[in-house]
Amino acid sequence: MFKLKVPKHDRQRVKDKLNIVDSKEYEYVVTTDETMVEKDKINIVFPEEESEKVGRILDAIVKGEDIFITGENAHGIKHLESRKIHYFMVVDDEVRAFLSNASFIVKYKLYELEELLVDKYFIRVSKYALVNINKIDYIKPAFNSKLVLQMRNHEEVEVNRRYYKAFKKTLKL
Amino acid sequence: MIFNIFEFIYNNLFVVSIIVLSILLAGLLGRKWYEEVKINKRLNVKKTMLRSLKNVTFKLPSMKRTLRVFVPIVFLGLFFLLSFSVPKDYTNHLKRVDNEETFMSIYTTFNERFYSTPLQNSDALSDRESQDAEPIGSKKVIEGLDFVAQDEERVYIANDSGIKVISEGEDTFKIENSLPYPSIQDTCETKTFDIKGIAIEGNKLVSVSYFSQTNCQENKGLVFDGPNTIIRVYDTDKDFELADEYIIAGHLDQGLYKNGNLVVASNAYLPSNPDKEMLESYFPHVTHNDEREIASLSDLRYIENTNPNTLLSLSLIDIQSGHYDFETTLTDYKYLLEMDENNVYLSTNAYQFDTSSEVFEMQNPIESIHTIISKFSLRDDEIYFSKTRQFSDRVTPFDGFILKDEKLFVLFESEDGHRLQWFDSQVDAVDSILLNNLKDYERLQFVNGSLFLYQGSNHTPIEEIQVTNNQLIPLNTIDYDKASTTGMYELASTDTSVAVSKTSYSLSVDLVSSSHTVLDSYNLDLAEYNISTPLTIYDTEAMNQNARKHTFYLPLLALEEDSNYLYKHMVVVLSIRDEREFIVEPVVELKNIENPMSPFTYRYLVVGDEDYHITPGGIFVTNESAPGEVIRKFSFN
Repeated sequence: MFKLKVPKHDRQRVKDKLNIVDSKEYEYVVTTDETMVEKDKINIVFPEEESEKVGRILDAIVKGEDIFITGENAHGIKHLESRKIHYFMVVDDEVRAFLSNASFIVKYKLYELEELLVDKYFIRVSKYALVNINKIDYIKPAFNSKLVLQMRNHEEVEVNRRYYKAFKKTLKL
Repeated sequence: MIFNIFEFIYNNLFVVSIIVLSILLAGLLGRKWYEEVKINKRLNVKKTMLRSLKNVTFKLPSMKRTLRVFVPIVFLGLFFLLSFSVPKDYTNHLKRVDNEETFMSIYTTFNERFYSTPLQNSDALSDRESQDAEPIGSKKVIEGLDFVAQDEERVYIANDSGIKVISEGEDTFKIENSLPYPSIQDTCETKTFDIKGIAIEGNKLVSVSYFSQTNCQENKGLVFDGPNTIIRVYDTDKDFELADEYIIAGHLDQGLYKNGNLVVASNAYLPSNPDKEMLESYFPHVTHNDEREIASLSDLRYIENTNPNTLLSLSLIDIQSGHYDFETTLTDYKYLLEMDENNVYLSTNAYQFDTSSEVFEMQNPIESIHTIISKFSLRDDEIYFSKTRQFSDRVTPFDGFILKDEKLFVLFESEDGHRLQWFDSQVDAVDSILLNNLKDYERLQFVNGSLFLYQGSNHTPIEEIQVTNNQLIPLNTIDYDKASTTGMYELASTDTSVAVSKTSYSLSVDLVSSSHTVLDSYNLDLAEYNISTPLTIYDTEAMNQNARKHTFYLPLLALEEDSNYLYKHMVVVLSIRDEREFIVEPVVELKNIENPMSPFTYRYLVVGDEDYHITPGGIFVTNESAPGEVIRKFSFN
């Protein structure tokens, strides 16, 4: 998404401050030197002392506005911030959103959620599950071309063989 | 090369499969592990890009998952470890006999080829037919037994007429009991009897005797109506009741008694044309208290390519418990045998026949003669066959096979000359040296850290080889005194020992320190004695037993001056002062008792402050304060 362009000797320091990871395909050039701007990209030119602010701007660019999903459970209805949802899963023909300690029934179909959250770090891992990448704690490869995702809430979600390649592609493996 | 690889794989399919599978599994698990590391690292990069994490540190696979990769490697390692740590099985040169057919097949297959050779008519083979031939190394003694034994109450003396049980009265001795030797009822008249020795083990008195049989026409062919070794165990607490009796059939080869265990090697020759129906009658057996155990055909092993003419038996008896074990091996009667308390080593010749001899009759079908050394272990009252190893050279037909302090020395005859090889107790080579120009070799002996090789009937020392920790070092000069040492006697409770060496002209007694320094010497010039008086040194085999720490006895035997048949016995007593020097005490003359010299000549015992000088005819007593004066004597007759 981003390309950091700063003099070599400052690079690591600025990189740490902005918490930025370079990618090969990028839309934004982030630089402290206006001579390094690229005309066909969106350029963010900033003095180094404003790194903290720029970091927050980058957060906003990446995360954007959070999407809220309405869910309900035995206790009532709740607006759920999508970034707090670990995964969605179809359970007994109902789509459930799983959070750290609770789960909610949501009124969307799974493919609708996928379309809705496709830019929000969610990824389809099977016919029945959509997972928040940021909530994956650890990935365990299994022998049968499957992956087992250990979520931060200590639950496990399996990456189906059919979605295995797409998952790896998302991680750019 | 490729063919060899395929041949190896074909012959070792199981092992190769295990190795290949282990490597494949290790590769697969390793790949999964790497994939796990990579995918989790990428996940964290992704999360950092999504600004969910502040750095890309990532979790490594758990220890359990990492160790899982090494399981096949560990398994493979264990497989190899177990393969090599299991007691090595050198049974390559062994064959199980199992049944009569195999036995006869072994016998006929070997003899059909072997007896078409020039060797067939050699003396070495023809003398076997007489049934009197003995293996060259046959010692016919039981080491560790003596003819005099002692417990707290009694003295036991084995002379020609039986075992005398002597207890001490006020002023004299009394024969408390006289235990006769066993007699064997047999139709064969010409039997010779030898008492091989006695020993005390707790409350048990052990005696070993041997009946040999010569020229017994009636029993020729049925070998085991012949010679027998008889072991009797008496209970000294129960009025010398016979507790156990073992009769081991076969020619006594040698034996060893130590720490209450008796091991006996004996052999039985097969007749020239064994009858398949009568095989069991040739087989050795042990009779324990009238219960006979015959060597089983199914337990019989054959040392391959040896001449199958003899059944060699090893018997191990625990005197206290009465437990015994018995093992039999089919091999060549021209074997050499050495034993210690833990192991028995057997050397036999193995004949390699020309493969053409299977089809054609050849003048000499023998391609080469090898040596096979077999090891038996004696553990927990059981005899175990341990291993065999084959060597391309043959052991010198003379006594070139000796065991000393768990070191096995073997003199091989090779094309380049003689090769002296030192083996450890596992029959693994420690060192070897080549000895050129060794002629008329007769004997190999280990004396006080050196190996001596002797030649000719006079046993002239021709080589001295020093035996260090792991090396054989030939010495340029020979220590002739050491070479003529007939015995080394360690003095109880001291670091010194007494070395007795004897030549035709003199007798030398050296007091030797632990660093092999000669501290003092006593020399007896035999020429000083009247020429008409032949002087003999008694056998000194058991002289160090019961040694009083400051006294050493040197028994001598000479013809009486005015007689051609009456012997006089005398004992030179050497006191040892401060463990540094000899003091020659007055000579003790043992007179006025009929002194037969069989089965031993002289022994002594130390009882309090008295010395018992024992001959087969009686006991002479001297006091420590007046060593030259006989104060009491007691005749057995």
